[in-house]
Amino acid sequence: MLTGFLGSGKTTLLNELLASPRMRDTAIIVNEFGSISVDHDLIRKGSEQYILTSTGCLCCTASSDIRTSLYEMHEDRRQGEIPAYKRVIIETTGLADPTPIVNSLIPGGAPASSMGDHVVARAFRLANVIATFDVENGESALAEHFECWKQLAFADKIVLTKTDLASGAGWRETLRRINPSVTVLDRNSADFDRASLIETGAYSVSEKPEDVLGWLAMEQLEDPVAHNHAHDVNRHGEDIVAMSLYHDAPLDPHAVDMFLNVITAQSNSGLLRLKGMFALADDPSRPLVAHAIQHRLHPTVRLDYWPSIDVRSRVMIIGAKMPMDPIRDLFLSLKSKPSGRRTLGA
Amino acid sequence: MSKFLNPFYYERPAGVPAHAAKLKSWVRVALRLDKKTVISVNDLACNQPHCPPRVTVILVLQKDGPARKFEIHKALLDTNEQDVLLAISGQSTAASSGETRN
Repeated sequence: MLTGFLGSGKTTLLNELLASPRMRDTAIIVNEFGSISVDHDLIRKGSEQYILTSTGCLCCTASSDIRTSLYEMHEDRRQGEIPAYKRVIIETTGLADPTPIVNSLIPGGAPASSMGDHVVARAFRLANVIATFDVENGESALAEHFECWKQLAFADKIVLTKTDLASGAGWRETLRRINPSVTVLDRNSADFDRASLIETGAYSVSEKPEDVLGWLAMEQLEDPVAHNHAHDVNRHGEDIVAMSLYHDAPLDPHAVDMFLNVITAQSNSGLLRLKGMFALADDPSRPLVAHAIQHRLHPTVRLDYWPSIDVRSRVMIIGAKMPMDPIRDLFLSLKSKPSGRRTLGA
Repeated sequence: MSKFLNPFYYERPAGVPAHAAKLKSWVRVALRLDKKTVISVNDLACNQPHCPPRVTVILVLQKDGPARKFEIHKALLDTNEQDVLLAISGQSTAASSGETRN
C-alpha cells in the first residue's frame, strides 16, 4: 500500500517504481478522492501493467471495498481479461485513513462478509505500507490533519520527498518519534534504491506504535462512536470538500493561467490540492497539466499527447473550509478562444 | 543527524501527534494507568445534525478487563486537560464515556 498526504509525491514515486523492469508484473489500484480521476491518466502504464481506478475515498466506504477491487482484479485475471501480475500496489488518496484498508487486509482484521472476501484473503497478502512525506509542506499537514499522522504511523517505510526543495533536517527524528520502527528514506539521496521498497513478506502491526493497535481495535468495535449512531462514512468531515469540474471546448491559455493563479494566490484559502489537465486553444492536442499543493502552484507541464481518450479539460480541487461556489463559477466562466494561428489562417 | 553536531539543527514540531501525546498523558495520570496500558486517540468526523463535526475518541486497552472508551465532542486540537478530566468523570454534557468489549 502506497499512502501519503495530499501532494506528497505518491504518484511520482509510483511512476518511478513502475519504470523499473522488475515491476513489469505489477497491477495498480489507484484511489482518488473526488469523482474524477486525474492521477490515473498521469501514471505511466506499461503494456503488461494493469490499472484499476476507484474514485470515492476507500477509507470512507465499506471496508470490503478494497476487497471488492481485489476480487474484481482476481476474477478478471482468472478469466484471462487482464495480464498476469505478481503484486498489486494500492495507491490511496492523500486524505486516506489507512486503518480500515489495513484492517480489511490483515489476518484477524475485518471479518469476511462474502465469498469474494474469502477469495481475497487466500489470494492476497498485505506485504508492506509505504508512506511519502513532503518535507516542504509536511509540517502543516502533520500539524493540522490527523490522517497524515495515521499514514506515517502505519508505515513500514517513509520516503521523504521534495528534499531537493527544502531541508529534511530534523524530520527523521520527528518521524521516528511518531513511528519508532519505521525506515526513513530520502527520495533524492544518491543511494535511494526504489526496488527496496517492494517486499514480499507480510505486514505486521507488532512493532507499530500503540496508536496503530488502538486505531485497529477501534475499527473493530461495532460502534466506533458511542453516541448511538454509527460514525459517518465520510471520515474527513464536512469541512473537507472535493470538487470536479469539466470544460468540453479548448480554453484560452491566458484564462487558464489566470484561473490557476487566482485559486492559488492566497495562502490561507483552504486549498489543499489542485490537479488538472487542460485542453488549450493554441494546441488542443497537447494538454497542460497543473498541480498545486496548498497555495503552491508547481510549474505547469505540457504533454505531447492526451494520455487517454478523454480530451476534456478537467480539474479536481480539494479544500478545507474553502468556498467552492466562486471557484466553480470562475472555472465555468473560462471561455474558449481561437488561437492566433487559427485566426490568421481563417 | 545529531543536534550536537549540526548548528542548524532544530527539532520540528509534531502537531497532531504532539497534542495526542499530551492528551494521552492526561488520561494516564487521571486514571493512574501504567505505561503498558495502551491508550489510543482518534479524531473522527460526525455529520449527524445534532452532533459537532468532529469527535475525539479515547480508547484505553487494558490487559485485564474491557476496553474503555471516552468521547470529547471537539476536534482533537481543540481539546484540553479539563475536557479530558470531564470525559473521564462522565460529568460533561459535551462528553460521553462507556465500556466496550472488543
